[in-house]
Amino acid sequence: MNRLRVFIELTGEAVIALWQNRLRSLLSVLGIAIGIAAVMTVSAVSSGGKQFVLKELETFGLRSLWVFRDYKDKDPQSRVRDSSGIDSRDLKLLKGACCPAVKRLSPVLLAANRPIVQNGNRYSSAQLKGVDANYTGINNDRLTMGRGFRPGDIKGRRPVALIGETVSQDLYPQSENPIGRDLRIGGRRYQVIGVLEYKSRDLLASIGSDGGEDANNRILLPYTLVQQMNGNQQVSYLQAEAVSIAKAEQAADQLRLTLQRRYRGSYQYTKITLASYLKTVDRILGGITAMGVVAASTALLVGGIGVAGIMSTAVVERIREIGVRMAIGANRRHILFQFLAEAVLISLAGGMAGLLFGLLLGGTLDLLTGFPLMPTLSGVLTGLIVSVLVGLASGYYPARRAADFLPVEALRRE
Amino acid sequence: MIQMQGVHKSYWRGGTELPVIRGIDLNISAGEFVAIMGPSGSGKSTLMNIIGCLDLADRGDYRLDGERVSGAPFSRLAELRGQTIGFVFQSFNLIANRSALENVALPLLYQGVAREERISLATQALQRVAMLDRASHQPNQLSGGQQQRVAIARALVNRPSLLIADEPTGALDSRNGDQVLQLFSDLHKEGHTLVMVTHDPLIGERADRVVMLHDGMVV
Ligand SMILES: Nc1ncnc2c1ncn2[C@@H]1O[C@H](COP(=O)(O)OP(=O)(O)OP(=O)(O)O)[C@@H](O)[C@H]1O
Ligand SMILES: [Mg+2]
Repeated sequence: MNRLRVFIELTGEAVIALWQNRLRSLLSVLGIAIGIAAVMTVSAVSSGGKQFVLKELETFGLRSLWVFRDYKDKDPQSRVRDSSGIDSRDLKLLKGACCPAVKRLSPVLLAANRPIVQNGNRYSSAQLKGVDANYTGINNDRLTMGRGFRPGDIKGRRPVALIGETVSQDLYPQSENPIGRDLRIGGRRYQVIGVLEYKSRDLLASIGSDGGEDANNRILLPYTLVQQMNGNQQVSYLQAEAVSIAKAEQAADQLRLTLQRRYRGSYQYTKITLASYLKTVDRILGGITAMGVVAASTALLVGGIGVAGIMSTAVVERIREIGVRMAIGANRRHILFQFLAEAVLISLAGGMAGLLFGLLLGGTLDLLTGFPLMPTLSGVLTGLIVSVLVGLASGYYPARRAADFLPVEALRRE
Repeated sequence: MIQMQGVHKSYWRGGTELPVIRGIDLNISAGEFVAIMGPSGSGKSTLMNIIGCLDLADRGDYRLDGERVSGAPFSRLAELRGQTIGFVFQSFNLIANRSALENVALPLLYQGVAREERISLATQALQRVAMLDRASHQPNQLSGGQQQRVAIARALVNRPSLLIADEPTGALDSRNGDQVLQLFSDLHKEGHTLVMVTHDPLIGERADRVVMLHDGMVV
């Protein structure tokens, strides 16, 4: 109990010593604070960035995959050169036992021509897509109003449509509920049965990797109707959902190879999985983070060296005081502890200032850019632990030196 | 109280040995006032540092209250300095930027004494040296004599059985010096064991015994 009190009181002595040299203490606190703030910001930016990209990729459905004909490998001998290589008959096969890693599958058809889309004298530039009842589930599309496609809509070639936010705004006055309303596509009448929820792809759009498609300017139709419009049984490509992200590649290959076997000698097929994008994003962000961490750690290292320098100076300046303290009963552990406590207090204060600074910086960036910077609890704890460790590491050598003096030697120094 | 036998201490300079204490036998009993005298460089301070556990002898046997000091671990030496010995230096050695009261209370901190008791004991010690009215002054706000009295209070605060002073009046004018000496004399009368280095033959006369040192040996 008494022993513990000594060490508590020595921490107080450390505080007094730091206060008596407050300008110097403040400067070394600042050094650590900059380092910790840098590390914090880097980790917050990388985790926030990942969250941000993930959120946008989620708008495609994270388990999504696409299979389509590989037009590059076009066989010059082929009789059916211009085909998309997939048609309605293939769908039945692909929905069967061939592909256990596929949870569900939808054909996607793009309209061959761009028919005019209108409601009276209001026009829309929407992109038309023919899909089946699985599509919205696979593509992580939610509806703000109305209902989605039912198998009956597809089979029965019912003239019904799901429209995006932009389409709804272009074709209908704000006050009007579009559900149940009509729209005309190439002169033919369709009924709006649902409105698709708004999808943010700002980041992807800004780096040009969303395939040039505006997710909010879409009209989904039963694919059977689009086939009718196009005048053939072809399907542009397949979009499917794997049973899990880990099985996405496998699922895509099952579909691809089934088609490849079926059309051996005619077509080659290729695939894209969102899982592979996720890996790429992870790799890129990981690389950026690693570079940032190296840079930030350098800042922290410099801060730590600063603390070590300050503590060495303090030991030299106060060597006589150390001798006096020894002469009145301090042992080596007491001296070691007091100087270590000074170093740790400096860098802990620096750590807390750095965290606060990092939080403010993150908050400001968040407000300015809408880019979510997320300091995690574990990040904050790590920051504090790291700053204590930096204090211990940079304070140990000077403190050890102070403690190892014989009292007479320390008292003899000027 | 102090038993020394065949104590040796050398300094090494440039590979050559410089013997400073060359075989000292010394016994001091409890309650004694011993003055140590001798020419400059004869090893008085070196001997005092060994007695006060601030330095270590190279050879020989040193016992304090029957306990072997030579060979004791550093932590035990620190305990002896903190509990058994009160050391007064020629140059006061108060900690700057700390009040007289804080300086006097500091030895108690290392003994794990609680704050209120530290203050109360330090106040008593300051009172003993008639410095209570300057308790909140810092060392640089005190005269040399006042600083030395504060230093004596610091040496007394742990109620040590042995008081050691190395030329405690060496840095003081005669009036202040006399005051400090009177204080030591009173402390001796109260029963403290006192070992003091001095150049002043008049002080020697007040002591129970004078030990003359010459070239690291008792003569
Ligand atoms: N750290 C040291 N390194 C080398 N030699 C030293 C050291 N300290 C003391 N000496 C030498 O030891 C001898 C004794 O020194 P000491 O300080 O004990 O003498 P003293 O009797 O106290 O002298 P004074 O009366 O001047 O204080 C001197 O010759 C001195 O030069
Ligand atoms: Mg001397």
